[in-house]
Amino acid sequence: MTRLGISGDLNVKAENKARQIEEEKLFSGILWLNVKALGLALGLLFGLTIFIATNWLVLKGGKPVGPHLSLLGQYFIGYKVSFLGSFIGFAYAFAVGAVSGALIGWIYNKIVEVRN
Amino acid sequence: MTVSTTGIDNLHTVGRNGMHRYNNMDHSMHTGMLAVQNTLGAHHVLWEVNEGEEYLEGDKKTKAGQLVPEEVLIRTFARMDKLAFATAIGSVSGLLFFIATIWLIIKDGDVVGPNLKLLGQYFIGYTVTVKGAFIAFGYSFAWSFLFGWLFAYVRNLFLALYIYRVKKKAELLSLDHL
Repeated sequence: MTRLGISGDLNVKAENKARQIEEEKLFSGILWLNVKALGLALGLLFGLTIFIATNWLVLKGGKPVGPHLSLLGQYFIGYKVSFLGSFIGFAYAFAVGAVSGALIGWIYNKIVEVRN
Repeated sequence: MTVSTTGIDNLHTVGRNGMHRYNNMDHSMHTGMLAVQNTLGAHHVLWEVNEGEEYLEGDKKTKAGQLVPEEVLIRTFARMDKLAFATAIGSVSGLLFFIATIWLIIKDGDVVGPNLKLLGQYFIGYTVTVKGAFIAFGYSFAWSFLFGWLFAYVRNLFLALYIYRVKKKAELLSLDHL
């Protein structure tokens, strides 16, 4: 047995090196974002936030109901702090969240593509 | 095979029998040719031959289109690109503030954006004007970039800690068999 003889030390060394290569390969991946999933998730998050925030103020009551939140009507045409308004708010916020999420995912993936 | 042979500098295993791998004839011959080049000083990794080609057995995807465990693991432990995420979050956030300001300018009125201009308390110099829209974009991009970068950093850190914990646990479990 000369240089090719697999002695104990050599075997351990080879095993360690192979394990190191395997670990490096395992942790070499870069995360890619699912554009549709991120859009849907952010859309639902935004939509539900507005829906719950509106209905919370409606349930609390008072005069006037939600004077500050109603300012959202400046952007979401037709939105009011009412039960019906919470659905309109949900739809608008869902759209904004979905577009934002999809845009975030798209930009992220493009940059990752360029950098790798 | 890989564990036993990697690291022995002057040992080259090639072909189907040598690598215990379902290479095609062309790939098997290719590994032999690369091995010869390695003996002459080249540094080809023979195990990379036939990697990632879909029509062969032992490739990264099965016939059902499912990923093999190794690929699944690589995806599971994938790191988030901090710069890319920060830039994406910053751009979208900046754009939202920019559009919000421009929208009020387009709508017009006696007093333009009396409530949105309160943002100037945080974004020094911000007003509900076209110039202010750009200022808001800048501020929002900067803060969101920082937030996005930190988010990705913390996410990667927790993932690394989790992997470290799992690795240590596996090492301890392997000692139990001794």
